[in-house]
Amino acid sequence: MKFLPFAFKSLARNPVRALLTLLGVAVAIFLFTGVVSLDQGMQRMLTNSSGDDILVVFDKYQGCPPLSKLPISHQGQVADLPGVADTMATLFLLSSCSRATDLVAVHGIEPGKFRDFRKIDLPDEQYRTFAQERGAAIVGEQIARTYGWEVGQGVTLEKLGGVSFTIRGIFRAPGSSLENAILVDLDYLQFATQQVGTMTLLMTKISDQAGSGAVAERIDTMLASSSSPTKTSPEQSFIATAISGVTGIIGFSRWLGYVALGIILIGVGNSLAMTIRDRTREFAILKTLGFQRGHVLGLVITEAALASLLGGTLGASLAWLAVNRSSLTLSVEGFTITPYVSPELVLWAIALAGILGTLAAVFPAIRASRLRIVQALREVD
Amino acid sequence: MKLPLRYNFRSLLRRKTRAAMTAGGIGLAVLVAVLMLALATGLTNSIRDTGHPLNALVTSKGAETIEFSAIDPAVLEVLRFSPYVAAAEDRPLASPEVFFTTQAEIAPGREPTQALVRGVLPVALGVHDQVRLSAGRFPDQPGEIMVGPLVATKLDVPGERLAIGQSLDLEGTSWKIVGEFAAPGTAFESEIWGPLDDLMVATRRSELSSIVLRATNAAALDEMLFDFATRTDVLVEVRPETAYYAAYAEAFRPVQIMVYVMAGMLTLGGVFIGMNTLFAAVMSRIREIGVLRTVGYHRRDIALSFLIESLIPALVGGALACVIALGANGFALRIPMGAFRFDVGPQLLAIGMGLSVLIGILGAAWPLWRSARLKTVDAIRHL
Repeated sequence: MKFLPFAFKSLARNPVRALLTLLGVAVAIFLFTGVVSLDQGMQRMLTNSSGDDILVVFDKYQGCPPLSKLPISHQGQVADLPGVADTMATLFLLSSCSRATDLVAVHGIEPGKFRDFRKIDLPDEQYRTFAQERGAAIVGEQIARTYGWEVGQGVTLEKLGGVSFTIRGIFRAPGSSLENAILVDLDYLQFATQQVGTMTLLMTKISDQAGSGAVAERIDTMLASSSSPTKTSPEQSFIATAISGVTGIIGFSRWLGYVALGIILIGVGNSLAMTIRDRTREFAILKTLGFQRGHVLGLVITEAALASLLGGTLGASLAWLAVNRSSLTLSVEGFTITPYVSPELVLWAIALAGILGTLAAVFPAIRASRLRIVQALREVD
Repeated sequence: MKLPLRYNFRSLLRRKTRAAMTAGGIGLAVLVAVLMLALATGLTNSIRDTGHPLNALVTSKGAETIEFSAIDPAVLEVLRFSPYVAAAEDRPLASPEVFFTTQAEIAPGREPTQALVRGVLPVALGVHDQVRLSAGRFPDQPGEIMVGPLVATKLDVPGERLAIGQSLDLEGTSWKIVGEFAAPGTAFESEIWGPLDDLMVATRRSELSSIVLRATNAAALDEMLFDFATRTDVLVEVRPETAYYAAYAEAFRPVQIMVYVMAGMLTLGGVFIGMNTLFAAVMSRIREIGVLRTVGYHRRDIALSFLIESLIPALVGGALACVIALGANGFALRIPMGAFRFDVGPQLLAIGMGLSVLIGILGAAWPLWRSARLKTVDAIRHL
């Protein structure tokens, strides 16, 4: 630590090199953070969009959730089963199944039950208005922002068969897929889309979380010979399966993040090697003055760590700003992933930059510390 | 008077590690940039090129995508005898199809995986002429299917699992694989094709998803589009197949923009690394520059020489990156609407080398500007 002021001064002595190194680290950390934010957004969506005690009953063979069609009569049968606390039928209306970016999702829900199944951030009064008025909707903050919707506005979705509604509230549900959804009354949506008597999936609350596997099996066995066989799974794994199509892309981008870190290693290492070359005589003088090998080692490493930490802070903060403020989302099968940079990720990225920078410094630093004084003093570049 | 190229090589070789690390850093940046661009172009091209310029795609009114479309099969009888529809062996080239996503059961105990299935008749091969049977035969018997080369990637199984003779469980019944087809660069490659009627029964479906019609020529396609859009006996949505898939690809624009931004940033990272090195090279050779000037070399010659010295590691790194990127050619990746292949073609390699040159030039710009401002006298005196 006592080297800190000295390290600062050394960096400032070659401002161009320090700046270039710092910017290089910043770019790489920016990329790394951006790429990891996609992964993190996916994890966050998985946790925030699902409840631990909720099972999803769904068309057994359907690959695309919005196209699943179950008869509403399933609801009564499931509700009577032991171990089932409550059920809510949900109807999805989506602009597309597999398109990645311009998804519009309408969920028909049962307003009386919805709040037992899902947490959303909305004043009770607004929710009550929504529940009582036919053709009313509450919309997620994100989709409202994307389309510039306001409370009280009437909206008709031309691309979704002309379904129309009046917005009675804009809710928040951080990290959840619901932030990008429009919620309307189930009956109204069934009627508007001429699908009376059908639902997309049945959300089932179980009374005892430990028995979830048994309840799921009971539901599927009971409905196996019905006109629409079902597959029941915990909500989180249901969503995980639905979005498995993007795991390839997310995996690939994670790999890119690692390469970005490799670039830091090379960039910082190279810059340090050059610094040491240029300052051979300086180090020799330090040693002549009585500095030990450890001191020189520490000095070089402090310098590298400092530049990397500064660069990392710059890159991670910029990524934090850029990702969390943009409205870029990735939608799969009706679920929306919002890339997200958490405060932890920012700290992580900065720490990683520091660690890698230090690592890159080790080899050049050892070389510097091993200098023979006489030889080094004699050297003329 | 030009400085000999050997001068640059010797300068670079004096600092071998430095040159190698510079080339390595730039190479890594170029490699990732090229792979990302391969991802973006492969993604959109495979979707865009799925449409044939002479095909019309008929869906139900108001259906934005074929998954959401449902057409009465009787419509086919009305449309197939339109005078604008081309014929092969006296049969109109009109392909009724069902298209759906389902859960394929690969092995007992394993979570089912999403699969894309298209129910077709043999005429489909006449309409989608990018599709060629590569092994086995066309599935025309009940319970048979054929698979595209990317289905294994989409289902996340090894290729042998989908060899001819194997079977696959879809919609609660077992289907025998009797053929393999190829359709390079199109979305068909990640689809499973089976007999239309059989798949309609299996999915309890009485309606078609789409009808694809081949027009006799480009003018006939326009006439056909107009005719179908204005007829009153059938109410359908009709559009050029190319327009349908182009709109589909358009949905990936934000992903593409993101990729371009990232590729741009990687290039910038490369520039920083290259610039750092060249700065060091210029600064440590200020006296040398002074001497060269005194001997009679023009500023321009010296600048050119340093530019070359910046370009050499950039080009070496870029070339290495391109070689490695070529190794990724054909590598397949899963995406929501199937799977696609990395297509590292000559064009992308050219872009990769172009980026290297750009990095070399930009990385040299600032150091050169600094060195050009040096006064000869000061340079010689520099310690």
